[in-house]
Amino acid sequence: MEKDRLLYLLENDKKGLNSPEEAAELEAWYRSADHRPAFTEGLSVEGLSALEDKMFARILTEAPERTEPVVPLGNTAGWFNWGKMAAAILLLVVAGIGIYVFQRQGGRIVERTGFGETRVLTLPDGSEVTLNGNSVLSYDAGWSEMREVRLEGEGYFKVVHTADHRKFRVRTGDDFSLDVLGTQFNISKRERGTRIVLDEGKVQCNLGSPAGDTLVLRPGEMVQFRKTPADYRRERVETGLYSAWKDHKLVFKNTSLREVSAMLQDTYGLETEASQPELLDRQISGSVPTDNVELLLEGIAEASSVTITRDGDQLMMTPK
Amino acid sequence: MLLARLQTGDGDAFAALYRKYWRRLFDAAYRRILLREECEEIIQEIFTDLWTKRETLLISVSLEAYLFGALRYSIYNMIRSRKVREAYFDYLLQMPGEDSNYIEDRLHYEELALALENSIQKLPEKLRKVYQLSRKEHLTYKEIAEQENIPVDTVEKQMGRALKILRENLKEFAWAWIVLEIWDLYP
Repeated sequence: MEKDRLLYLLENDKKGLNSPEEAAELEAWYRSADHRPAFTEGLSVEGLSALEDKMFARILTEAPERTEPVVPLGNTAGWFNWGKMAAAILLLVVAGIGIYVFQRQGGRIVERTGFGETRVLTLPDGSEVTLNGNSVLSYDAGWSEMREVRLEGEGYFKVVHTADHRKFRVRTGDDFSLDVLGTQFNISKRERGTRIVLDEGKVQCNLGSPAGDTLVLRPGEMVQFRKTPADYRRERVETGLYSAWKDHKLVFKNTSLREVSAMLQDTYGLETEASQPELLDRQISGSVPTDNVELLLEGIAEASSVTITRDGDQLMMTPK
Repeated sequence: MLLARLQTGDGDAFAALYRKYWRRLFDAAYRRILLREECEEIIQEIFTDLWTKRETLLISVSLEAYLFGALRYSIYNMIRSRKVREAYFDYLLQMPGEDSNYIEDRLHYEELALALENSIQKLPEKLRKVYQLSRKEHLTYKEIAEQENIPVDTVEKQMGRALKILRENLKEFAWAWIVLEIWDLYP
């Protein structure tokens, strides 16, 4: 069967439009695959149980009421201290200014930015990271064979190549990291997901586990996933849109107000409400300066013809 | 029987159903998709769905027919949504036999198994022994205690330590970590 024919039959099947003959044709195609060999018969006992357990573990994490297998993996109690984080946020709300905390905890260096603050950091190897607002970057003080940093939030990395080709690794979770030689890229791990946009060079994403999948990105590509790295989506994008923030502006291109709101929440700690939900579907294009929040909001309001009123960290969008 | 138990929220019945059907479903999916990740996704969704909807589920046919019907539905959707990359259409439509995908994808699971096995081998001997008797030979703690001539609470402690070490070593194996936790539910 030809590809187009198959797709045609499948579309019809969905809409219930197949004639009895067409339905039989599709059925015959489906059945014809029964002759192919069974995948699992070629697996060793160990491989078989690895597959069986892997899927079952994922099913259990997806089916929440059954048990609580999830997860605090890693040293959450160590360097990343929610109490301190909350205190920083609180201070911001009260004082209304960006702050950052620099501290050493158990030999780990932790750099944080407040809402709306961007900051350029130089790492021990000379690599440069621009941290966007409300982000945390940390690494071991005695940084030896592997250059490894951990990121919550968003950062733009310019990684220098070392003479001995040491790997540079950015980890955003126990199930996701990426490895770099020398390169420039933007990475963000926020509530709604993780996103990597590559400007230059080459990075390798490590999905899940050491023996798990890897994915090599080329310049101009973006990879994103919500929760599970294996459910990633890869696409080609205009990379500039995703890293404009480091040059103190935001560039939108058919970006919905919903996405804009999510960004305002992540980076500036501003919560958006819309008087009519469909307002959030409105798309905007254009460039807005981020040097100060008021101007940023004005720019967004202008571009989308809405009125934005601000009360502390609450925003209300109404049609103009 | 299993179905009735499932509908009352019996987790063991759910595990038993999974164990009974996953392999045939996976093979049926793989024959038509030829991509292991997509197949994993489909099987996971079918069972997650089965669990989530267990109370409201009306199965007019047999459970088996229901599962294979759900499988077909997911496969059609997967192909329609073009998640199956263009290049695979050729295989999907023409290749009669086993292509190189089979080999590569099998290798993936063998490596996965190897990583877990390596961590088990690195356990201190006593812990490894207890661990293997429990997980591989499916002995109960009491049976292990008798066989090894040690008190039951020592077996429990050693298992606890073994799991803790494996969990540390396999930190990056989110799935393996979870499996270690739930293995008791799923002997």
